[in-house]
Amino acid sequence: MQISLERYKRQLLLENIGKCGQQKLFNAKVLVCGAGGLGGPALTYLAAAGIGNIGLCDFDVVEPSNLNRQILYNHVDIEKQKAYIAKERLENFNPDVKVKVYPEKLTEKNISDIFKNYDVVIDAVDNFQSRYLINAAAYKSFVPLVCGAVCEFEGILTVIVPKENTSCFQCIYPLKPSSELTSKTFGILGATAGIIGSMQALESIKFILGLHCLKNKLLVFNGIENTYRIKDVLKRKDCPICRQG
Amino acid sequence: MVTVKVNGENKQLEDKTNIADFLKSNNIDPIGVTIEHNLEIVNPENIAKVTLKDGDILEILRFVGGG
Repeated sequence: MQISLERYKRQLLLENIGKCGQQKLFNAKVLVCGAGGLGGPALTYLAAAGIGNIGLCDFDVVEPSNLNRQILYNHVDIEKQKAYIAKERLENFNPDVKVKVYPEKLTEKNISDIFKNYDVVIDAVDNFQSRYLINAAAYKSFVPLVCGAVCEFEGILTVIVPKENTSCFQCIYPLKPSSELTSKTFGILGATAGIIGSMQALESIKFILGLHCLKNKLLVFNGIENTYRIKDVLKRKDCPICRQG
Repeated sequence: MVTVKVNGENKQLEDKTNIADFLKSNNIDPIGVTIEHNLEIVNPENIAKVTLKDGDILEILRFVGGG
């Protein structure tokens, strides 16, 4: 496809992008798991940057309580399937981008087949069970994973690169949270999800361009205190996911 | 008194403070956090058994999993 570069003029000016970097972005394949509070901004900024091939995995429908943070949808979308609405909005937003949808729940059975088609996966899901599944599958498939999460005014972000044998999500949270905690519904402010989701797009773009990213590090954002703390994440010798290799 | 680095900041604690005491005095619910003591994750059942010593490093990381 012949793509007009005019749209990308302001990022082509960036020393780390230029025409060569933009071509890398056009050629890249990025999968976003979850098209909600994190996935919405992540998908939007990936599309804006001209990531040529975006995968989108979400089986949910839009609910009224999503609308404080899920910026791809509006009130007329309620009860409609998120994946198809998001695809339409993103392709209208940037026709240079192809969006493939997976309107299904990720399971141990289907996840590796989906992941193998992508250069980078973004974990933007809303529950711990899926996060452990995605982390394990990314390591198994050797796919880089940009993991972000939010709760109330806090957010976390890390980049996991299995081919470089980095630490993984389970190195950060080796003990799975109690069912008491996972069943609880926490508050989330849309702006907090917007910050972390945008940073997930940024880390993915930087990874594709070969720039510095948050490998073996965990960024902890606190929106109340206005702090960003970056903590080293050591690979755990007893980690059941990444200790091999 | 002992000095313990908690999430990157030095804190002065009473001698013989254990992790459970520390969490309680800071109103942190142990159910909602993962605790790393000198780079080792502490089993939640053992937090009252770990006494903090001068120079220890404590990282308290909230379970953040929403999206």
